[in-house]
Amino acid sequence: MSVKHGILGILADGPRHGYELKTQFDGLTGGLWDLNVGQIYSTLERMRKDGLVALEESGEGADERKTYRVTDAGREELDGWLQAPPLRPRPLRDEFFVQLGLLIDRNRPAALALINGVRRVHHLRLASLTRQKVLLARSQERGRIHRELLLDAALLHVEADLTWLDRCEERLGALGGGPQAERPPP
Amino acid sequence: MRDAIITLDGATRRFKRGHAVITAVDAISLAVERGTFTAIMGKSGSGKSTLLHLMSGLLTPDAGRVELLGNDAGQLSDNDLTLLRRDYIGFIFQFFNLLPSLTAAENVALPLLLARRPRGQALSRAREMLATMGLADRVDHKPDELSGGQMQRVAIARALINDPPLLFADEPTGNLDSVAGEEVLLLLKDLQTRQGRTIVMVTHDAKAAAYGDRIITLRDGRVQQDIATGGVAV
Repeated sequence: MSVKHGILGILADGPRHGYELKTQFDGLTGGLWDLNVGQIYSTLERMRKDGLVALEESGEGADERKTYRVTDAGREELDGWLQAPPLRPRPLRDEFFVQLGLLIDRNRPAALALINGVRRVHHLRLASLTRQKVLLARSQERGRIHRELLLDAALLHVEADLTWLDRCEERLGALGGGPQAERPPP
Repeated sequence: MRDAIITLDGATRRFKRGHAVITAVDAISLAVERGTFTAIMGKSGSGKSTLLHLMSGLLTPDAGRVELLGNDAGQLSDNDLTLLRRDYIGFIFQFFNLLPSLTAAENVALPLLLARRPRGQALSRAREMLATMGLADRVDHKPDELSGGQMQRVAIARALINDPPLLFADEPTGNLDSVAGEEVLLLLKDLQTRQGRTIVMVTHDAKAAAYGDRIITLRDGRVQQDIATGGVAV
């Protein structure tokens, strides 16, 4: 998994503390990947046991004092990973899928109401991502292109979710066929 | 409502289609506050274009009331409505609606020329406006010499030439690729946040709607969902 490989990639530029790794990892993922510094330390420890990274001599003691460097085995692992397209890019695992599955035959109005609620959440998420995009467009930040592309990825996924919600609603039979036709006034 | 620039109260608009009467906008009540960016979404046939036309005084309601910039739109004469739109409202369209035989500057100056302002003055104002849109080197180009994004920026410059407080945009990115579309949306966002203009935009694109600080979704001529995105302060 790519926390490990992200760390290797950052260490390939030179030795780092755990906290520096966390900051740079956030930069790589545009802050869209929720990772705490504890996960960095535990991953580093596992990687050290596997011989992918090693501790620098100077930095022994508490976690935050430790400095890590990449080993030759680590570089080899990184080079292999950078050339391999991920086979399972994104698990389709969403709380709402379970809710929908439970409601769909038991309580259809509740399922439809929930679809509306989820749609609202997605619109708010789109708006929040768009705000980040507007701020980014107005800044001259370094690494802007990568961050912009990450925001686009997030935006397009939410858009796909919204399209799918429309599909759910249609299939649940709630969608009327355009404006309602009425009898002409006598 | 604190400072509404548009208020609809039970606004209804019907159309005949063959022998049937279609209620395109069905007793909608809402208010648009000054300085906000409202996106109106909905599938085709949901009534969003009719709603835009009611909100902008291009149509008057069959029932209910539309108050536009402090005027009861249903009580104004056609001529008064035309003047209200000319002086206080800018329109931006999906297909830009530029005149092909005129240059960019002439297109932008057109509202001033129609209002019988001196030609030299109107054109120099148009050139300034185009320069602020990053189109200083395109002022003497005809529309067919411009990209889609450039044409839409010319159209926005034309919409702004009378310095209107209120802008309506009907699928402004519908005919643009995603990069040009985003430039137009950023520009609209700037017109709201930096110049304090009120923007009402119809779109079927959720990503475009996300630039709004309010998203109204229509279905069958009614408001299905009204979402405040909390996004004014960008």
